Amino acid sequence: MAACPYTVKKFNWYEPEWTEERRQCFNPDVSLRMKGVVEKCTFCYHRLQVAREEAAAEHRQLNDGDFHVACQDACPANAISFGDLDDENSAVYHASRSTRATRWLEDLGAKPKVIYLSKGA
Amino acid sequence: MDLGDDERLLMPILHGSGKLYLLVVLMLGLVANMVWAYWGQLVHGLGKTGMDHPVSWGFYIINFVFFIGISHAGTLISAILRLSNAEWRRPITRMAEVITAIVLLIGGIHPIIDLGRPDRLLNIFRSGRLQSPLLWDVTSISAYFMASTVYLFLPLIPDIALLRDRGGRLNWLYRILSWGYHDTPGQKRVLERALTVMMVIVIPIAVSVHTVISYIFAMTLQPGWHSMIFGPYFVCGAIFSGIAALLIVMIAFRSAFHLEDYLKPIHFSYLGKLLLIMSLLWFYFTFSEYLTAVYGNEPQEIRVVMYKFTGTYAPFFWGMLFLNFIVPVSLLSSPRLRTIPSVLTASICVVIGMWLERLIIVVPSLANPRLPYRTGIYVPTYTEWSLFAGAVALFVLGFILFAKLFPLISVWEIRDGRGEGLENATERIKSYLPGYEPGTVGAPVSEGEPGQ
Repeated sequence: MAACPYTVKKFNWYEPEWTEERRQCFNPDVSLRMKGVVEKCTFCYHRLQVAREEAAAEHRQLNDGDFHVACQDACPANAISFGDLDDENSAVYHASRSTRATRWLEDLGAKPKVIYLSKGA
Repeated sequence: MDLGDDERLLMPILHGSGKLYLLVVLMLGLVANMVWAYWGQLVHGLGKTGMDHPVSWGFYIINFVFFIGISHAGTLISAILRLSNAEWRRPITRMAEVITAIVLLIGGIHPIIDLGRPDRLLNIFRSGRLQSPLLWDVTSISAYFMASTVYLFLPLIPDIALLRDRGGRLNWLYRILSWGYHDTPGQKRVLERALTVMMVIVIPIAVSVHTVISYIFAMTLQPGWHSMIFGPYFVCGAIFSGIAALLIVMIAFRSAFHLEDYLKPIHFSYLGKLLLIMSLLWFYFTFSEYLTAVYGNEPQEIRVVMYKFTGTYAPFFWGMLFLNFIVPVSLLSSPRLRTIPSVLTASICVVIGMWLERLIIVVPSLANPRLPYRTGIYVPTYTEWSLFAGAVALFVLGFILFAKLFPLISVWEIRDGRGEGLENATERIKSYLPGYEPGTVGAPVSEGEPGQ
């Protein structure tokens, strides 16, 4: 946590409290974290697991766009895409290699997997 | 066995005093308060402390580094003095070793109280990763604890045997702990050989401990931490604060039990000199560390450095420099000034100064994250202060408990010093001189008995 140059890991200093409304929208696929542990974005690993199992049941490879992360679904401007950076057929493969692609603190060599696209054509 | 004058070394074990019990009660109170505060933290979460995002390391990690640093007093100094045959070490080594064992235990607990889920400590055994500095840390601290307790215990055996032969109420304990030691020449030879092996082993382990602790910081990419110099810098600071703590304990023990005859001004003068040397060495490291950061002028580094030089942490930074460098150097560099009160003043200043150094290493780097996140100042709460006070109280209690059970000055080593130590030292000095041939004045200096 202290070592992360992005200060992105969060610690649960207290037992999390939820309003009744929020309680009703809990995702049954996600285990809620308790006090005293560190957490960070998991890139919706629970969704990836489901997509993987579906692909396996259909005896095929996981394809680009088989699953979306939650923030991607929620974004009204479609500004977020998610996929396999090593898959030459995926949208993110091309986006990550465009001249508009930048990463935060790239010079540290931490190889972050979150890539931003600057404004442009 | 007649001990003569050395009888008074057993006095703390045989006699108690009202003042001592008052101190014990006070310290027990502080420990109870610590347990209560920790319970609160366990129930409500680490939010009870002043730590928050992004300063997620506070008093606990500072005290961890600080206490483990103090622990270098002991074994390292005592091992070096024993190895170099420094005759003046005899009344000092035991106390140094006791400090190490107690403080190491207290320091070692600190990372655990900093855990939100202490039960997950066991994950170290289940899924510890070899590339993690935290695993290195657990390994080297537990190795050091093992080595230093053995190193404390070995020279204690003849003294325990002495206590066993005198009878008394805790005889059963001494009988078990003395391991059937009867001071026969053979047993003594084995003991001394074991001691020699242990002191050679203990030095690299001690150096590794604080180096590895520095790696927890240095292996990250954080500005102010990612520094090659951190390993030796931490070891130097550890020995520095260790000597200071040893001096404080020696002076307290000396005045409490009137041991002026054993702990003489010469001991304080020698250790004071050592403290002075470490102060200069510490300043050299500090100077190199900050000059590199300032001269490079890298924006992230400079932000942390300025936070220390002129920002929120300026009082602590300049206070540290004053306490760690200006006070000891001005008090200890002249032999005339190197008296016991000034040694005590310098030692207290150094212990506080070294604690500030740990504070200055841990917090500012976290308070200035690279990315523009919300930053904050770290203010410890009642919980952290309670645990700090409790840790110090545990140290005092541990020391009193030890003093009530075993002699704090090694009785047999003092006795040896009067006999063979004096002989060997005279012999050694003679052997340095030109025209000397071994055997003309006495037997050559050797570890074993003459004639072997």
